[in-house]
Amino acid sequence: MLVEFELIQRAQQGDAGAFNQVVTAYRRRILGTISRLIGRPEDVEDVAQEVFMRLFFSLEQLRTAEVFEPWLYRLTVNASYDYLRKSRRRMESRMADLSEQQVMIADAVAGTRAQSDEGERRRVTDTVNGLLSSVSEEDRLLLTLKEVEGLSLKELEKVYNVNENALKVRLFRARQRVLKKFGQQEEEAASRKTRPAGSGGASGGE
Amino acid sequence: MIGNRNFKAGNEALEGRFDALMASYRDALPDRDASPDFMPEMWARIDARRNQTTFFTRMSRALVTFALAASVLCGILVASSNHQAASYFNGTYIEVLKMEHNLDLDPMHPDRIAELEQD
Repeated sequence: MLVEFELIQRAQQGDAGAFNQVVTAYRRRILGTISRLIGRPEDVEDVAQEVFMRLFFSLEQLRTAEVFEPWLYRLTVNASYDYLRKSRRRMESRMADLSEQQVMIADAVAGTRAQSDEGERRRVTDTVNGLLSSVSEEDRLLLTLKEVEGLSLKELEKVYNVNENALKVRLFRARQRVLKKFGQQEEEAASRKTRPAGSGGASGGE
Repeated sequence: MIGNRNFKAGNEALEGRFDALMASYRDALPDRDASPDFMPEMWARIDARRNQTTFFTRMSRALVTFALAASVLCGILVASSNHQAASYFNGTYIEVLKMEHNLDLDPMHPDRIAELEQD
């Protein structure tokens, strides 16, 4: 734990300074987690503020130190889920716009290393966002927590409050669906590479 | 058998590339610091929610008070009408008949009839 439980107890009693310290200790980690969960850096602070606001109003329910971090993760997952649901329409249109771009991204991921770091970063995030759009928001979050955040099944069990087997089944299905899409993207990228120049039609980007 | 092995190997390679992609996604979006406005904006949100909660709490208290007052008033009205009804239903046949008779006669104003007779 990044803070002493005594500090959390002070925050529970309404000590704004103590709550500020708790937020300061966790905000970097929470901001990072949210950015990977939602995949949109511009809205990360907004969602993080929502998380800490929910923490502020529910802090009095906390009884033991060990559940604090899983609980904060749960608040983070819930706020991210709400955000993803709200912006689903926006995301869908974004993904539709990206479909052509993704093919090029897959190309780039496969081989091209001549791009700048920032461009590479954007390509990777857009590719992963595109892949994760093939599963529901719940599965996207679960998969990201496992595959990207590196949470163990035990930790996920605490966050989601469900048994390990149910999590395993859900994770397996979500991963298979995303893998299938990833494979399709790679195949498309490979067929583009092998296609002779000039026969690419209108999607050649000219 | 060989086909199955090739498929398995292909699948493992795909999974390996997928894991690498997820790792690069993790690196592309590292933990980051908040902007200087983060804390003031967060407290502004907390205050806004707190004010909203206070407003709704006050409103609900006012509504509960009003509902209590209305129910007490209704109770009093029902009790008084029950009292009248009780005397109607618990009275003897003669008393009720008398009550009915009085009600029938009341609008006739016997004094005015007497005045009319004098004329």
